[in-house]
Amino acid sequence: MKNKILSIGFLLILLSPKPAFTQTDYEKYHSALKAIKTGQEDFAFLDLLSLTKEDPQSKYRLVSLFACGEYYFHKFNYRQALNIFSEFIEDYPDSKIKPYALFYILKIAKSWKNAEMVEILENKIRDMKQVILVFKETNEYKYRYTSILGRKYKLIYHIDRVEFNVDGEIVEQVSY
Amino acid sequence: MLMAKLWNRCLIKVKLLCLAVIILALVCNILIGLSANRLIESANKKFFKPISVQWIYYLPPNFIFLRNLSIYENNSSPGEEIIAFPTVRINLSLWRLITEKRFYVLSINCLHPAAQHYDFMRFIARNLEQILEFFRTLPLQDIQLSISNATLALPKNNNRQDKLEINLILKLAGESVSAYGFSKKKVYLQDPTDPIKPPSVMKTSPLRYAFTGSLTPYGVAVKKMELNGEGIRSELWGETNNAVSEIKGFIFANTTLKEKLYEGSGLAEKLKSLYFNLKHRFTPETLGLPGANLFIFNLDARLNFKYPDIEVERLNFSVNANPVEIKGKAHITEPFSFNFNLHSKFRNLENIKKSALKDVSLAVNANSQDKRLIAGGSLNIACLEDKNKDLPWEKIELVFRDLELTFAEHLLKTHTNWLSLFCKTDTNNYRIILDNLDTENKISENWPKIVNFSSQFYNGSLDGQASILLKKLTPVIKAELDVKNAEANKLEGILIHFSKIHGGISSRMHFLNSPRMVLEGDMHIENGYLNDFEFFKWLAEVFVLPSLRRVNFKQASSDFLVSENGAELRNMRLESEDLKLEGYFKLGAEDLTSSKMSLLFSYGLLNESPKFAPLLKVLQKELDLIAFDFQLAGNLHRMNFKWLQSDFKDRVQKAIPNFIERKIERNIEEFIAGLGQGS
Repeated sequence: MKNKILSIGFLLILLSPKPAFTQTDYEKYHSALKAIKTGQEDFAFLDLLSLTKEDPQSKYRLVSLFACGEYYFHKFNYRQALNIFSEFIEDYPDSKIKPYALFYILKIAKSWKNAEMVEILENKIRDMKQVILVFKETNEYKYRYTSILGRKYKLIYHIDRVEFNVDGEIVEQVSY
Repeated sequence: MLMAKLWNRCLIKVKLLCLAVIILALVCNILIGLSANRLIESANKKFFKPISVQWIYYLPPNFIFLRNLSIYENNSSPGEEIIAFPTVRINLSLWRLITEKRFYVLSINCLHPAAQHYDFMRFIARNLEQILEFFRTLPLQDIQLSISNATLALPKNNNRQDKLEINLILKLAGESVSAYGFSKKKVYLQDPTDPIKPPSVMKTSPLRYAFTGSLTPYGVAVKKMELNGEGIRSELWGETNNAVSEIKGFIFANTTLKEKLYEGSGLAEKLKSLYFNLKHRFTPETLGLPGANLFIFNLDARLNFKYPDIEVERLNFSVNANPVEIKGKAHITEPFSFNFNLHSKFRNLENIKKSALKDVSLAVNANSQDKRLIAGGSLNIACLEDKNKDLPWEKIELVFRDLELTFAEHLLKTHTNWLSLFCKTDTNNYRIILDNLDTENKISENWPKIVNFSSQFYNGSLDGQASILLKKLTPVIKAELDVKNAEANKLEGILIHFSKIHGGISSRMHFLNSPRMVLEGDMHIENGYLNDFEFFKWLAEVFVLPSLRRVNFKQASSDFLVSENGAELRNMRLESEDLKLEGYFKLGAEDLTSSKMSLLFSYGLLNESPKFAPLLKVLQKELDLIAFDFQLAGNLHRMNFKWLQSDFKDRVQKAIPNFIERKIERNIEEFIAGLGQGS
């Protein structure tokens, strides 16, 4: 009898789901990717958010942080989106996808009609690159980016403006 | 019968009385006539200036008349009088004459005194100390002094003669002092086609004044001092204590009122004056001022009179809710001098809520030299807050030295040795210096005021005309300016890029300060050169064309526009031996540029460049002049560059394969990136 109880208990422990805090960053990341594939963006977000907070040294943190910002933005939670993107820029100032984070912050500033913030961000975006068009009509930012939530980003530089393009659509632009 | 007898007796007594009065009058007048010269001599000794009297006579019961009394500046020649009193009536106290056997003056009435305004003011200014001393030496007694229909004649202007008419009654009764009266301007208009016809007379509505106070051991306590006119209402009170006066009060004014002239003096006007005078014999009255747009409240002044100096220890007030503080000193005898400092935290005289707070400081000092008034000073205005950017500037500083004012035949002329105007906006700083600035302005009550001016201007000349209009309480200034042959590179204070331009610049400009500040015009430079001019310096570095660092030209011209949004050069044209340029260049806020240029280079010039030489070989000298059309945008110090389509570009693109195009593009990008890092 005693042995039966012990065996059942052992079996239960083996079969029970592991608590989240024991997952590695790799597991969280891939769990999120799986959830995204099956259309469960909300579950994916939870994993990614957990990764950003609990695994600061993780190699997946950069893309996860960006994805969390995206998620908040598209859920219209601009305050949290601003916090995440600001954290992104602070933690990864040399990241190649930093311009896309700046554009998201610009869109948030415009929605809040914060003229001072808009001016600062537009100046930062203008200073990112000096555009030289000798034979081409436009110049594209070297680093296109597809986020883990599936959105495709690119920046297109014209002589007098830079366009922020998401999934083939111009969603924001800054004039020179 | 008895009645007839009584009546006859009365008649005889009356006749005897009349005879006695006539005899008394005759005797008195004979005595006065005999001692008139002595009386006048004695008066001249007591008075500080020469006086003359034509007639002195006595009228019963107690009146003495002085006819044609005149006061002179120096000698008592006819026509040289400063003030003329046709009639002065002195009312003596008969009672005191009989009981105390002394002349006691009850009242003095001056009828129709007259003077020339300028001579009179100069006389007062030169003799103020003696006048004050004279009044101090007079015995303090109850007396009434009245001036009826005094006129001060202003200088004649063509067919128009303006005169100020003044009426004043001053009463001393025990310790109490009161005064009241009114003034008005009379305008005499002569018909130029009929000089014999008497001039028509028009009048303004009167300016009334009233004063009530009392004498104290050390001065005067002012209970109320009122000024009441069609466009002004003021009330002051305070006290003088020895040399120190403290005054408080308020003033309302309607500055939009224009002077109205009325024909003659209607009955209604006379009744109004009478009513006012009667009222002020007993009690002062509070009246409102409809249409007032200037409100001076909380007036608090402390003045220190130590002849010949007056010190304004403080003069604080609020004007339309803007606080103002003034301090200063003046020396009121020759050589005249004054200095004052004004400070205000100022918003706007009209709409305070929408206006930014500004810190305003004005300092002026002046002194007279060789009968000229020379002044220097500064005006500083700084915006302390930014309310919806209602002002195009953040700071203005005006400094002037040796400003001389002269008045001549209704003209106000100024000459300023040196003047500097500095203006800071959020896009640029501007500084202009003018040497030997002369201005001329016709003195009139009409708006706009027209000012003609001319000045030395950076080794050239500046001439122009400005019109100043008061829109409610805000000055609106329009000016047309003409610059001839100024040294272009000295204009860097106006636009920094001028420091790179050399040559004699001529320009015609138009300036307007409201509703938006705008300076626009055109300019021409002949036989000059550009030295490291921003755009050419950039081209020289990018395309390795060192000769572009100094571009000599025969002619350069451009239209320009400077406003709160930035500065623009439009319709630019430059012609030199190896280069022609056309286009525009705009510089806005945050140093953001926008420009399109069309450049024609000579083959020889481009062949100098190791970057262009290979391209030119491809074209095999098909073109003598090669056109480059550029577009520039972005930050002035890191401009974006685009080579626009042109005939030359088409030929180059056709001549080289795509991979060479990409290589050239990459090389130029890397090169420019390297330039950016280097700088």
